[in-house]
Amino acid sequence: MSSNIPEFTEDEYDFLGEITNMAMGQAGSALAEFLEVFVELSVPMVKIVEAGQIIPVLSDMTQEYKEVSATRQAFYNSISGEVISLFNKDACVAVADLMGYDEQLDPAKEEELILELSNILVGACINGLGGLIKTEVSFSKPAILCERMPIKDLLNSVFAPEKLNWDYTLILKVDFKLEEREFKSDLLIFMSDESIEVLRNSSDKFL
Amino acid sequence: MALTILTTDDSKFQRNVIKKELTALLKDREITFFEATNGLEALSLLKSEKIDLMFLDLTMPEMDGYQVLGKIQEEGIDIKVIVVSADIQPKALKRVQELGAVGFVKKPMDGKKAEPIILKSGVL
Amino acid sequence: MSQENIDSPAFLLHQGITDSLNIGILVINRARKIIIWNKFMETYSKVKAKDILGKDLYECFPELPRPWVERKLKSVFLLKSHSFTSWQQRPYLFRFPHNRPITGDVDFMYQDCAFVPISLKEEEVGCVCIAIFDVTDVYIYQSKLDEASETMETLEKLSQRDGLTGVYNRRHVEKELGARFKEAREGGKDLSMMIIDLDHFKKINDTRGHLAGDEVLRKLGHLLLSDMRKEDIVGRYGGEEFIVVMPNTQMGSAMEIAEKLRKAIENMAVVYENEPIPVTASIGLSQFRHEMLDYKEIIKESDDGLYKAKESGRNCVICP
Repeated sequence: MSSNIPEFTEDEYDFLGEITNMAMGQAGSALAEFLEVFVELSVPMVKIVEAGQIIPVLSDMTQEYKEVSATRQAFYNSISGEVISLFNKDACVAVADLMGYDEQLDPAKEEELILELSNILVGACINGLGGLIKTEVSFSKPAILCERMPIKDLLNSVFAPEKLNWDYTLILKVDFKLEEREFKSDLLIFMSDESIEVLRNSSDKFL
Repeated sequence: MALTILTTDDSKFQRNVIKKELTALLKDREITFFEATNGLEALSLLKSEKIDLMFLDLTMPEMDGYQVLGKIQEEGIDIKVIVVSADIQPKALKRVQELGAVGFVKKPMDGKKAEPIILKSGVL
Repeated sequence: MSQENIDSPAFLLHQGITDSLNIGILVINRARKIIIWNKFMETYSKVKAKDILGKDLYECFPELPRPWVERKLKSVFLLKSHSFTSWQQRPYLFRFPHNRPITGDVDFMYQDCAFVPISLKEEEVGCVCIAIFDVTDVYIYQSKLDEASETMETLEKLSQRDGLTGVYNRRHVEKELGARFKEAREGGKDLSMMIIDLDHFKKINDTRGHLAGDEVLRKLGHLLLSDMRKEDIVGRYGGEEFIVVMPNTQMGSAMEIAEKLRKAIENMAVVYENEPIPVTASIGLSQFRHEMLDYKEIIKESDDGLYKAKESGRNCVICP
């Protein structure tokens, strides 16, 4: 099975890291403009992971989180995949005022806020990626995966071995923090087979 | 006389994009490219070579772009710097302007968008 | 769309399709003026397109949650990407009637909405298309599923109980005992248990009838549920035998509890067909010890105690 896993050269990893970085930059700037705050960005991660390794790899990537709220959203077209957006436990509360919620947050409003935030980040990031490789992307509507759940439980339930019907996936991870606010979000972008090839071959469009 | 340009970015891909765009933009000029993968390398090249124009990334290991700009100011190095950044928030732009950069362009570097900045810098 | 295109076959085709969709289509421009209002919207809102096209959205529909709609529109215009809303967080954008007046048991049409950026010129979002999906059926199925899962939970609870006496059944109590036994072995916790057997129960059945016997069992069940502590697990072990698992309890206190219970049973007033039935019980008691490897061993020891209690004249508590 492992012979199927695509191998990337150092240059290809560099390229994937850079387009992710540029997409993240656009998403960060969109979020900054929307919320009128400064968004702190860091270096994205790029990794090819086999199904059997997914939980340890993601646990390692998401060490900063204890309890999270999370959503999932699919995107499709010439690149397709899924994005899991993670938010720190009190992310909602930290940005409620910036999002125009001045009333008390009830559970339905919290869900709405988390969905809206993840839609903004995913939309901007994936549209950014699509724009860079000159392709249009469509989106499914985002859905809540969990609210204030230990990250460990989330990973174990989403990636339970009996549910994994794929062999490997490309993971692009980007993260966003807000200046002076208890807000942190990670997008885990998952792509497989054809989309990986589309991305890999799109470096020609730049050079 | 050949124009000497230093590209500073930890990504080879981004350095190649800059080289390609500038080669196309300034096709009747002879250009000599120097490359650095972090701030320290860039500073030492600035001291050892005669560089006309520098393209600078902001996020790099060892020494990042902001630090490089700081050093250039501090040591009074005479160099025109154009920042090429993935982070395009107004605050990043403001900060590099304060640190003396002559221009700020978004990644991937687009020759057409860099052209007016290069013309204004007077290095041609 | 320019004037000369308006009668073109392509335009008419698009309009025909938009009107035939079973989805609400509303398009507004940056000035919040209504540009498209399809047949679906006309039908459910009873507002004709010709009356509102070119007019301000909020003037036409003042009941819209303006700040919320504005936030959505701002994100679409600014970020040039889709935005969605779900009936689960916000049941509807426009309060429309639903089309299940008979089978529905709902008050309005549940809606999912998609806010889609439409670029007329390159790079600039000129309009936003709001697509409204009728998801009332989804809402109804979801409610039924939720109800069903609640019923399942109740059923599961019931299936852990003994129908006659209301205490746990043997299967459940053994499962619980297994878990407590493991805690005792691995976590060093105390654990005691007892088996309670009614004395001369067969005689009650034979002389007063099985219904009288059932009444005794029912009464004992109630007594156990009310007298035992909250953390104790009370079950029916079989016929006239009951079991009480006492977590975090040493032999000393277990002995006291058992003796108190024996007296309570002796004093329990059971009346059947206006005649009292005198009842006593024998109790075998045991405590977890580390040499026990399986929870069945602690049951066996209680059983041995019970046997000895019966041997020594009944109506007593014995720990072997």
